[in-house]
Amino acid sequence: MSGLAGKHLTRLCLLLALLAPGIGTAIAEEKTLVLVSSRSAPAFQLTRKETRLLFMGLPVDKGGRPLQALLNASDPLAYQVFLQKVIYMSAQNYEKRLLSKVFRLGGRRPPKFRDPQQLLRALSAQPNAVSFMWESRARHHPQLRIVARLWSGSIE
Amino acid sequence: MVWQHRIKRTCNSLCNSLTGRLIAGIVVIHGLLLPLFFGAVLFLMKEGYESQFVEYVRSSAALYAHMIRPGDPEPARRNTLDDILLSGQINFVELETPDGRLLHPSLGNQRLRFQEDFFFGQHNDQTYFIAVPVNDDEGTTFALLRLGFSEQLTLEQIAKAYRRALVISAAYFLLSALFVSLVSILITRSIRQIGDTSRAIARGELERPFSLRTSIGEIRQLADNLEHMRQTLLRDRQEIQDREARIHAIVENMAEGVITIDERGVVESFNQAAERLFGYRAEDVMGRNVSLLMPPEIAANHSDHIRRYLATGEAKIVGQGPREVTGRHKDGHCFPVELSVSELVVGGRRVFSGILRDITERVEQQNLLEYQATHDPLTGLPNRTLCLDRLQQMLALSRREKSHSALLLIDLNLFKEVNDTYGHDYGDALLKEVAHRLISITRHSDTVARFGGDEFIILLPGQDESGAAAVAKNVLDTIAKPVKVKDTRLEVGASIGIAIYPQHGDNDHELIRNADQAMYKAKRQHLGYQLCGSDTTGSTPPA
Repeated sequence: MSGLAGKHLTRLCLLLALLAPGIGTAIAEEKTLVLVSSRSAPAFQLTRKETRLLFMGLPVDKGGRPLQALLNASDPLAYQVFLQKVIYMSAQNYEKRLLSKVFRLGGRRPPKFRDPQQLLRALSAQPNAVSFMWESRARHHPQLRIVARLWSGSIE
Repeated sequence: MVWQHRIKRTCNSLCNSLTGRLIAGIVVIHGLLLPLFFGAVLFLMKEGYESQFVEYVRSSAALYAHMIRPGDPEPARRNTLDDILLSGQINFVELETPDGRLLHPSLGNQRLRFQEDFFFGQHNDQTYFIAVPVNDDEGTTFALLRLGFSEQLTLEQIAKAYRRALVISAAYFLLSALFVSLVSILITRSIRQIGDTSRAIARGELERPFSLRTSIGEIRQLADNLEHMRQTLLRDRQEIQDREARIHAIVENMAEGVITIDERGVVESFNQAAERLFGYRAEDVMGRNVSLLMPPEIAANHSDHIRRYLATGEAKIVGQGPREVTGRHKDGHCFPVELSVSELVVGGRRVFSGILRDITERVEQQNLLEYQATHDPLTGLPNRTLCLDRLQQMLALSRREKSHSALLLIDLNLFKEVNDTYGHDYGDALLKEVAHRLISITRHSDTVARFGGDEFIILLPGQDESGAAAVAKNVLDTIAKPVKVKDTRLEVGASIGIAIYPQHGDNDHELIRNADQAMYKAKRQHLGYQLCGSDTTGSTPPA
């Protein structure tokens, strides 16, 4: 409940910032959402479809290694862009589907990270792990490798 | 000002009543909880609506992207876009190449400008804009499908939910207040009935049974307890009344008078025997001071006696058992009464209860017995016993005052002959006449006593030899006078012996013995009287 409330509070703050008159129109930023993995892992390519399957909890192998999806919930906007551009679902339905899949087929849901530092540590620790974040952020971390560009556009 | 005062008074009475406090409690509780409860419900509902809408938008957009085939001729693509526009809530459709060239300009609402949204309500334009890639069979994006979904319906649904929640809240609030009011009215009505009955019981109205029909257990228990208390009080009161009646009957029918007074001496009760005793009716005495029933010399100090007793506890009568005192009748005459006073504490007050008995007859009887024991029944003169007592008193007085006193012992001459000749009746008549004459010639302070047979004694306090001789002469003269009894003329004389205190003895026996010797000397020598131990004599008594 506290997680839910925190999420909505963050969203509300973001909305307020976006809808603030004179600011919303002034801030129009070009953003690129990228798929990242640890640089210690061998380089691999991942199509949009494979990405979608991976984050839907289905098994995706690259070079004989099963990939592990890590959900980045530390940035609500990036998370929503990811859901809209890759998963084509609402957050609620996506989480419901993941749960349903676990119940029906077993396995584990992709772990969800609200703390960006924890996400980075998890990516470094697991060479097979992939996650998504803004490209500008990914470039600040040399231990990360950009696997694919998921979306690019302006956000006001 | 009047209205302000009335409003203030109404508010005060409401705040101080159970109904007011219950309603205030409900208002406060609901005022705090309802916004929280319905706020949370509305928040979750709004989240649900919005999430449902976003889900619909994202899934529909992906689906619509698949409807467009890259190889379709332009009219067919146009038809597909028209079909998309006509389906669901879509009010904006546009197709452009990835490098931004428009393949099909905006259909639908021409005033809308595409600004991609990622949250419901973003950009405040009531349209959720989304761009989805249109891929060919190889997966290459050849165009972007830009769609606008109207948020209007969802917003209306949310607004409707708000309105409904508001109506439900208000209805719930009103129903709660109504229910609380009804319950509190039911409770307060029962409490008011219990209060009315309590007041009636306090006023002593115990006869009317109390029953309360209520479904509230605590109130019913309270009412049952009150009814039980009423029944107990009624029974107790009846018992007290019966006991009081019995006590009243006993007191009223007592032979003794019973009077109750308070600390100030005011009469509080006065029974029939007391009425008979004092001649007053109870209503004449009650409320007045008890000194009314006392002789004036006692009445004057009575209040002081009570005050002293209350202050010090020193009692002369209270708690001392029966005492003989004097009462005053309504007609003013005083009479002896035997009085017992006891102190009681009634209702925290000190009261005094007196039981009185008229002892007039007893006193008279005692006086008679005493008289008979000390007086000669024939002559009425003090007898030997009283004579000796008076003699001792006279000697004590003379001793104290260092004065003289005289004793005359008188013996009648020829009395035996009178008795033998005429009989005892004549003798008795003679003695009575002699007694009468002796009294007539002596002072009030002197004592004339019949000492035995035909012997008399006269006690003369303060007299010396000369005084005593003078009295003796007087006695001889008066006895010498003839006495007429039934037409018979009797003549007797007397012989008198005189003894003077302190010369002839300092006690009664000595004085009597010396006077007796002097009397015999006077009788033998026919001297009339003889002063003890001296030659002083008086005239010769008649033969």
